[in-house]
Amino acid sequence: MTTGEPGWAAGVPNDVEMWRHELRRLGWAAGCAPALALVAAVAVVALTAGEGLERPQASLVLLTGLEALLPLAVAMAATSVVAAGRARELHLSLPTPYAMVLGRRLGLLAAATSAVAVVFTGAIWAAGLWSGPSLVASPLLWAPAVAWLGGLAVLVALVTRSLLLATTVAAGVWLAHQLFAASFAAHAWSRPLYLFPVSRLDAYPGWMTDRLVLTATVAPLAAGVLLLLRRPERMLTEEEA
Amino acid sequence: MDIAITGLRRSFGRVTALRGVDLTVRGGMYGLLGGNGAGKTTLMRIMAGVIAPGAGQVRIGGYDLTTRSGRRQVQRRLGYVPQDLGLYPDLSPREFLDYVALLKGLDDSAARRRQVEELLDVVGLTGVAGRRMKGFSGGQRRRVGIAQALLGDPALLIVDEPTAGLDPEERIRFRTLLAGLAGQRTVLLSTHIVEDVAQTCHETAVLAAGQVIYSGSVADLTRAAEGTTWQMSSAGAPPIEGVVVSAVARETGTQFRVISPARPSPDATSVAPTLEDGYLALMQRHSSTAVG
Ligand SMILES: Nc1ncnc2c1ncn2[C@@H]1O[C@H](COP(=O)(O)OP(=O)(O)OP(=O)(O)O)[C@@H](O)[C@H]1O
Ligand SMILES: [Mg+2]
Repeated sequence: MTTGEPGWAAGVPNDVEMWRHELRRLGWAAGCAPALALVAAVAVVALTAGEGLERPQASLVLLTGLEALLPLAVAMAATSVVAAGRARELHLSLPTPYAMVLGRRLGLLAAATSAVAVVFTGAIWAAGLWSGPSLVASPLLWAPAVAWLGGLAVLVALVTRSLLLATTVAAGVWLAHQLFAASFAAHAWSRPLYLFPVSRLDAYPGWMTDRLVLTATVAPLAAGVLLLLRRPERMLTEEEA
Repeated sequence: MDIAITGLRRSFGRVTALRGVDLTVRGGMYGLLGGNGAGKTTLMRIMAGVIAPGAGQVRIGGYDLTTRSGRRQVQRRLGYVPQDLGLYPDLSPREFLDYVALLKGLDDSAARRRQVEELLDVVGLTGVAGRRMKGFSGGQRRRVGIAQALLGDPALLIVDEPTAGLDPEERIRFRTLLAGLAGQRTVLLSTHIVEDVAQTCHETAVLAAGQVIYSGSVADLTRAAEGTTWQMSSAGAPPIEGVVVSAVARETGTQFRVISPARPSPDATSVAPTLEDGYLALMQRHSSTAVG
């Protein structure tokens, strides 16, 4: 029965099948968004290499991809997972909580993000283009910003139930951090909250501590998301409700 | 599964969708009738655990739906077809059913696959089982909806307006399929089409403005129009009194079917009512008491 039937793959465990389904639900666009953000940084370097791009500049562009472009791409992808999922009403009637379904999809997105970020870091280090703070602590370059921007976008998506609003807020916050880097750095209290110090500031003393503080501020965002996910009807969009 | 609902209220902001619903259902096929906005979908969503009840008691098969764990227990025994069935258009029916089966906790993969193939056959989708659902017709989508609901052999089946938008033959096939399923389980069917209830249900409830205004046998609801259903001929103008159920133009004038407490005209003859007449008579009585 299991084997040889048309349309069925043989001998795959249930867990694997479930994750395979969720990977498909995550979709190509969302699943590849993290990789595309980094490819974009590489493309900028490749296109400008002929015009005498210095190594430090190339290195900065690549770090910007990792520190700034990657979080933006992940935030957009996470928003679409939460706010643009189909068949919600059906999901809400099934014994597997929809929050768990969304958690699996976001988990896959996080895994894809970590994988491409680590590979990317290794590649630019091997190419001698790494100019970040410390290779060992390199996940602190992107992970807190990814979690912060992604968490914010998902929270807004759950509160407003609007894909448009959530992506606009995430993009707005990202842009503010790009435009007002100096203002963030000027105050002791806002300095740790600054998302892109390495690519946008000339000096970043106490970087490691700041990043750990930023990581800690992800907790309230995550708590808000978990709280909202416990109210399943939040997941029905206005038209469906 | 037995359903026992008392004093159920639910509002959305300023809109009160359910204002004190009392309903008891004991197995078999049960029809839920009511006009647009009467609260059918809200009631079914609460029973399916999609939204939480506001106030009141809801028990299904002994489980309390006001609690999270009770909702989860009911969902393990439930098949639900929402009014707006959202499907994943990039999946084939076979893939979609497999995914839903996994979410329903059907862990034995051989049994799961057997059931998916069986259900594809039951709803007549075997021929397109491997095709993406993008571009499926309304009838095909409904079939996928029913098939996913039947996964895991649920004791309770909740179907919200399954026949809306289907052609007459497909509609009849569909309601016959549902009636056939009601043998061993409770099937709750909401619809605007009174005929569907007349042909398949023994018992029915009528919802109006968030309240149950009738619950009981279909035969008794039909009897609500006994002595108030009339047939008459008129040169053209419809009768002033009562609700016109139908008007058929003939060479001799227009023949009207009318629901009215009093004889609408001297030449009107009393006729045997149908369930639709009973439904309309009930609605007429309800609106006149609500206004008066
Ligand atoms: N999520 C919601 N937010 C706001 N109002 C709602 C919501 N769901 C239902 N309502 C309101 O509650 C009332 C009952 O709606 P419901 O969808 O239950 O009716 P219905 O009987 O299913 O109608 P129809 O036959 O048109 O499907 C309506 O006035 C509707 O506007
Ligand atoms: Mg409805």
